[in-house]
This record gives sequence, C-alpha cells and structure tokens, in this order.
Amino acid sequence: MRDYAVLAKDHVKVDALEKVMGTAKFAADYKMPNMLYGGVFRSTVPHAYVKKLNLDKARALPGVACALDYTAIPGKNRFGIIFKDEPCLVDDKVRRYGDAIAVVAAETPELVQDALDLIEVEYEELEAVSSFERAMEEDSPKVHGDTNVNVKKHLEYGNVDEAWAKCDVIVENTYSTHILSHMFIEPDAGIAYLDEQGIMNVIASTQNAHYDRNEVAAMLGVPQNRVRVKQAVTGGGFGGKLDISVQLHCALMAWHTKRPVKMVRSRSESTMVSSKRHPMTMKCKTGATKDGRLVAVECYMTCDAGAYSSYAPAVIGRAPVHIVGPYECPNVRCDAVFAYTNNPMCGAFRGFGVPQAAVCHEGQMNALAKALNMSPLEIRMINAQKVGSVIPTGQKLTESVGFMDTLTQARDKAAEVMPEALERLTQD
Amino acid sequence: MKPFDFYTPTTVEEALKLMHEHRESVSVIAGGTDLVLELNERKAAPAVIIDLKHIEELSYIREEGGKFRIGAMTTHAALAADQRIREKVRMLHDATRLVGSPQIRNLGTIGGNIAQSSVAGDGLAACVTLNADVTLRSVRGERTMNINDFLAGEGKDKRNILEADELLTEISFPVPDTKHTATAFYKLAKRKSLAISVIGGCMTATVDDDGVCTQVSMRGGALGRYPMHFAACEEYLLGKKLSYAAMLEVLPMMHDQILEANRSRPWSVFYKKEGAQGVYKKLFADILGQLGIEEVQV
Amino acid sequence: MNKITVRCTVNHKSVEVETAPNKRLLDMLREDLNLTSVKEGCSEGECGACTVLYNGEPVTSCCILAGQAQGADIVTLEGISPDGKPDAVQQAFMDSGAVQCGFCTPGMILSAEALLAKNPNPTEEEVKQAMSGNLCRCTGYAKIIEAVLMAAQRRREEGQA
Repeated sequence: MRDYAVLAKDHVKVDALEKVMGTAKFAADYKMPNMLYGGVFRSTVPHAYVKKLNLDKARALPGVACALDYTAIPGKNRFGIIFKDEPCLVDDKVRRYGDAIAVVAAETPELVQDALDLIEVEYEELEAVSSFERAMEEDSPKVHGDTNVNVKKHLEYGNVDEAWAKCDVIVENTYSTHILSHMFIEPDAGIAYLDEQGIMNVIASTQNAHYDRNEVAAMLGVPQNRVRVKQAVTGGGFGGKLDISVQLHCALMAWHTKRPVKMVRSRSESTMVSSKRHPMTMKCKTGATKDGRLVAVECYMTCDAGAYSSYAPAVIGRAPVHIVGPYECPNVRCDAVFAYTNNPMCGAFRGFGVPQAAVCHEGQMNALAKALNMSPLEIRMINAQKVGSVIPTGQKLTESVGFMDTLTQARDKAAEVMPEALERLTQD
Repeated sequence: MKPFDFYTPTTVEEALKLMHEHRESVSVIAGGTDLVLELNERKAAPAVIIDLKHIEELSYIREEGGKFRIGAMTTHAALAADQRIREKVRMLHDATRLVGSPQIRNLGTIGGNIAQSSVAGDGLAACVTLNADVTLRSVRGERTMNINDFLAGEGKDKRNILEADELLTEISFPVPDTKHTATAFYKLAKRKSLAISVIGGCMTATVDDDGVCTQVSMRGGALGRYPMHFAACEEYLLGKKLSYAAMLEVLPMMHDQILEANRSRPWSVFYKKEGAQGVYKKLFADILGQLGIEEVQV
Repeated sequence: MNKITVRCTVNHKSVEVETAPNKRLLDMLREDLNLTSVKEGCSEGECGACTVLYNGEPVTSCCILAGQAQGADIVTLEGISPDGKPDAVQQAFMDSGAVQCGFCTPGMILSAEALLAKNPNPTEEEVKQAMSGNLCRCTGYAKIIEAVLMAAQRRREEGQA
C-alpha cells in the first residue's frame, strides 16, 4: 500500500485535547452577562384544540422577563427539515404530547419552573390517532389537513408479477421494528443573543447549523444574513440533533427581551420531544429458484411517522431502495406509506430507514435458506452483490462492492473464534 | 428544586431535635440517590432538609455479642468491601456489591435503602431475608423491632412505620454460623451495571450435621410491594435433607404464588414467574455449594 | 430560605461558596465555581457524566446536595492536571481514540483516575467494573478500556524508569 499522509495511520482527533482537559465548550457551558434562562410550557394531551391560554400569572411573577405564545412570533410559525409542518409554538392545535404551547424566560432556572407552573391552559380534546392502521381509516381524525398520508413511495424494477411463476420457493413474512430514541448523552441545549450589530446569534448543540439559521431567520422574519448559528461542541446526535430543538425558542425570547437566553432541556424533556427512529411494518414476499437464486421481492412497508414529518420523506426514499439488501434480485416492487399520527415525531436516526429494511431482507434470507434446506451463509453468498451487479434503482455497481469480502472474512473469523456456531450456521 | 432550609447536624441527638422541630415538613437525606432526584423534579418539596452525611456515629459495621450491627449511614460500597460481611453474609455482600454503579454505591446507604422501602431495594430484601432488627430513634426515645413489623407499620408516608421525626439508626442480625448456614443473593436485571433489579432473589438456609434443613428463608425483591415471602416453599424444605432435586420441587409453588399475587399486573407477571425460577435455581446451587453438599452447574 | 456557606476543598484549594441550599453539587460546581467539565446527562445518577471525586471516591454529583459537600475534598476534571498538560490517563484517552463526542469523557477519566489511584495494575475485568457507572452513547467502550489499561501501563513504566 502507498504511504499516505493520513490514511492508514493513527491520528489524535482534532478536538480530543480540549475534551480530555474538560475545556471543550458544550452548549450548556455557555454563560453570558445579563443572561436569562428559558423553558417551554408543553401540552399534556396528544391531540386537542387550545381553547384558552392564560400567561398573565406567569408574566406577573417577579423575575420573569417574558412569557410568549404564538402571537409573539414575528415571522413564520411553521418549520421542518423538508415539509414545513411543525409550529414553533402551537397556534391551531396540539398534535402530540409535549407540543410547545408557550415559552418563558426568567432570571433563574427555578423561576422558569415557577412561571411554567403558573400557566393555565384549557383544551378541547380530540381523539388521538395512535397507530398507522387507525390513521388510514376513513373516519379517523386528520392530524394535518385532510389526509393522514404523510408520504408515499413506489419502487418498481423488472416484472414482479411475471416473476412468481419462475420461483421454486416463495416465503412470505411480516416484520415490525419499534420506535427508538437516540439517547444522545448530552441533552439538547443552546443560547441565543442579539449582538451589537443586531444579528441574532444562536449557539446550539446541533448537527444542522445551516438549516437552523434558515429556520431562525424565517421565524423572526429577517433575512438569513441577520442570523448566525454556531454549532457548540455537540455531545452526540445520531440524527436526533438534525431537527430544531431549542434554537427557535431561544431566538424568539432573545428577540423580545433583547437579552441572551439560554435553554437546557432535561433528559425527560429531550426524550419526550426529540425525533425518533421510524417504526416500520414490512409485509414481504420473496421468491427464489431451487438453487437459491433470488427471483423476486415484493414488499408493503408502512410506518407510524408521528405528528410531524421531519425526515420522513428522506427515510421513505431510502428504505424501499434497500429492501433487497446487498443481494442481486432482478424483480423488485416496494410500496411504502408513512402516516401522520399523534405519536412522537420520527426523524433521522443512523441509517435513514435502511436498518429497518435490513430486519426484513435478512429475515427473508434466513427464511429462504430454511425453506430450501441451505445454509444461511451459502444463500447469501449465492446472491451477494458484486462489481457489475445492477440494483433495484437500475444503477450498475462499477466499483467498491465489499459485501462478498465481508462475508468471507466474517466466516473465517467465525471459524477461528466460534467454530461451533459457524458449524451450526453452515449446516442448517 | 423548590427552596428549603438545610441543616448539617454532626450528632444523632442534634438531628433528632431538628427533625422534631420541623416535623411538619422535613426530609432527611442520607445518600441522596432517591431524594435529590425527587427534589430536582419537584416531586418532593419539604421545607427543611437535614443532612445525615456528617453524623459519623451512624457509619459502622460491628460484630459483637454474636450479632452484626450496621449503622444506617453505612454505604453500599463500605458493606461490599467489608471482609466479615463477605465471608459470613454472602447475600448482603452480593446485594450491596451489585447495587447501581460504583458511583451510586459510594453514595447510597443501607439505612436509606431500608427507609425508602422501595419495591426493588436489594439491601432491603437481603435484610428482610436475614430477619433483621431495625432500631429507630426520635426525641421520644429508641425502639428496636423486627424488620417485618417495621415494614407493616403505617408511618408518615405509609411505606413503613417511621414517623416524620424518627430516624432509622441501626440494622442488626445474628452472625450466621457459616459451617451450617449459607446465604445467597442473585440479581436479575437488564444489565450488569446501572440497572434496577427485575428480581432480587434472596435465600438463607441452615442444615444440621446430617444435612437436614433446620432453617430456611426465601424472599424475592421486586415481586410485590415488599420482598415476597415464599412461605410455602420454606415450609416444604424445612426438615428435608437439602439437595438440588429436593429444592427444585418448590419451584411450582413459587410459580403459583407469584402468579396469584400479581394477577393485576399481567404484563410483568408473565416474565417474573418464569424469571424467578431461574433466579432460584442459581440460589439453590450457590447455597448447596457453600454448604459443601452438592456442586451444581446452573 | 437561608443561604448556606459550603466550605470544602475543590481541586486542591480550600473554597468557601455562599450558595442556595436548593442546588445540587453539580449545580454548585458548574454555576458557582464555573467548573463546566462536570456534565449533566441524565440528572438521575444513571449516566455518570457528572462524576466527581468525593474524598477520593467517584460519585454522581447530580445525586448530592451542595450542602452535603461541607468539609469534603472534591476533584473535578479541571483538578486532574492543573499545569494544563494532560496526565497519563488523559493522554491515553487521546492516543487510543477513546474520545468521540466527549460528553462522557470527564466522568470516564475521573472513574479511571480513582481506580488507578487504588489499583495501579488493574486487570481488564477490574477496569470494566470501575468504569461500569459511566455510559458512552457513542459506544466507544473498547477504546476506553484500552486507554485505561494503556495509562496504567505507562504509569508503571514511568515509575520504574
């Protein structure tokens, strides 16, 4: 191998020194003179109209700098990474447990809690849509607009209908994956302040500083060059810090009070309202010849994507494309439907739907192996993608397809460290 | 956290006076691993908090007059590190060794564990299985009682008999004769560390020179509001020559008892009635091994 | 509510902090003493990010009230190498790639320091035990264990030299 300057060498991570010395500044570590602390009043029902909201008592509490509802938003009250469907503060109705209804800034974190306790709300509750199935029923309440369909995707490759006749064996199974929280170890936090030039600065724990800037500017109704977003050292995201967390609320309160406002979510608040991994149900039919070659895959994929869209349009783009996994298959059809419900919002989470699809295609490969009385390893090797393979998008893979190498190396390693298990795997 | 006044007494005497004076709304803080979280989430908001950390006279492990006497402020870490407890009361050693994490064991105390009387308290389950006595003190004086009577009482917060101005000061139990008595603890939890007990299995057994069971105590933590007493299992084993085969015979009784007691909690009982049997197989093997009766691989 | 004065040793210096009693040790260290290496991850003693050394033992500072630190000897990550140069543990964390997002790192290093102070030659199992109260969500445990063993070895070698 060539001697590269960086590749194949050990390097100390660029920010490792500050991190081991304890000087790295995470968002919650920022402090500014004259700083206020912020907090959010959140819904305790999943689906409801807000009939009455009384912020007067909170505002009257000494030490409270502001208590704001959606009427205080100077610009747009809809944001979202792809579809702008989430409010900064609830205006028409609550769509999930934990929706932000009002924000409060005060001199101390204790006063923020006191003020939040003084806010009064009255709801007119609606039936909560709590599953994909209910969301799709005609008489279900609609979370947004007049349909609960959030996004749909259709993938068609080859001719699946004709292919079934060529199969010697067909396996049909349904796979469900569950909702997951990223559980990044640093709860979301940020601070916003207007600088002497009147530019809104936001320093936040985020994976998405440019997007944050656009959303803050739109919410404040100012050009993007009037907002500056800086990513603080970020304690893990895993996709969960791609969406807005505290940025808009901090900026809104800093805008009104003209003082720096810092917000740090508690672990429970962070877990309640940050995005989640999409739970999917995949009903899958897979056919192969008797020598183990895949002939056709057909999958119906559904998902309860939660109250807001977040990265659903991206996830639904990825998962169907990966429904056959790293295997060659000439005929593929996948229909995917993601629904709005009143459950927690699902978003980006390490893999964008691909890990969910893997549960399905790997399950199907095992099922096929069993049906054909082959070893699970052998059937994977027979179908493994390699250079020259064509994937269900029609793309021809022209280089760097490492799956076969991975399989053989894994097999050899297993022979070394877990020979009995490998024997079971290859005999079955 | 709501505001409160904070006191740091250095003697029990001083603490009891303060507790009595502020009994309308007072909490004492030992390790803090429960109370501080409740305060932080505003689930608890006493007017006064009395810190016990600086009362040195409450932190001790003594072996005297055939009894172990343990001060209420003794930490899990101190108990787990004590050689005498390790050799003579394996159950308490393991119960304290496996609590939470190193950090939590350095904070949490045996007295706090018992006074909190949490469903899944491992120290509590072990002390109940040992049939320990607890000593409580207040400005009115001192009372010592069996831990079961302590748990059956309805004091200020209904968890146990403790009154608002009363302090748990000591736990005591006879020193087991390790030649004839074995004690064992097994924790079933989601992980090895930082995990609350799903089942905290506890057992002590005594045999005579012929290997006949003359005393047996079986309690399971996290199976009910208080450590579950497997009385029928004990009765069955008492007077029998202990062997793995004989002990396995009690498992159906245990299964039925857990099922019966938890009918209103079908989501957990399904798992726990099976899990408990696995836990007790481990305990049987441990006990038999310690007594030198039988080596069983579980 | 009465203010309290907490007299204790923090990072080898005697301090007197006038503070509100309704604060945790975590808050006192971060807010009153600006020792922000002490991180709040879970607020319930489950993640270990707020670990500090309390009389030499690792504890989660989110489970301790500020007033309970009266008279105690507290060490945070800032007190590990006051000369500004990484010590053996810190250097090993850098060298073995044990630092990812960095949020668990302060607590991890303090747990490792507490272990090595008592046991300069730990086995891998003892390292795992000692670090079992610190969660790393980036799941870098293998490198972290490697770092602690590396630091122990380097310290032993230095001692012999």
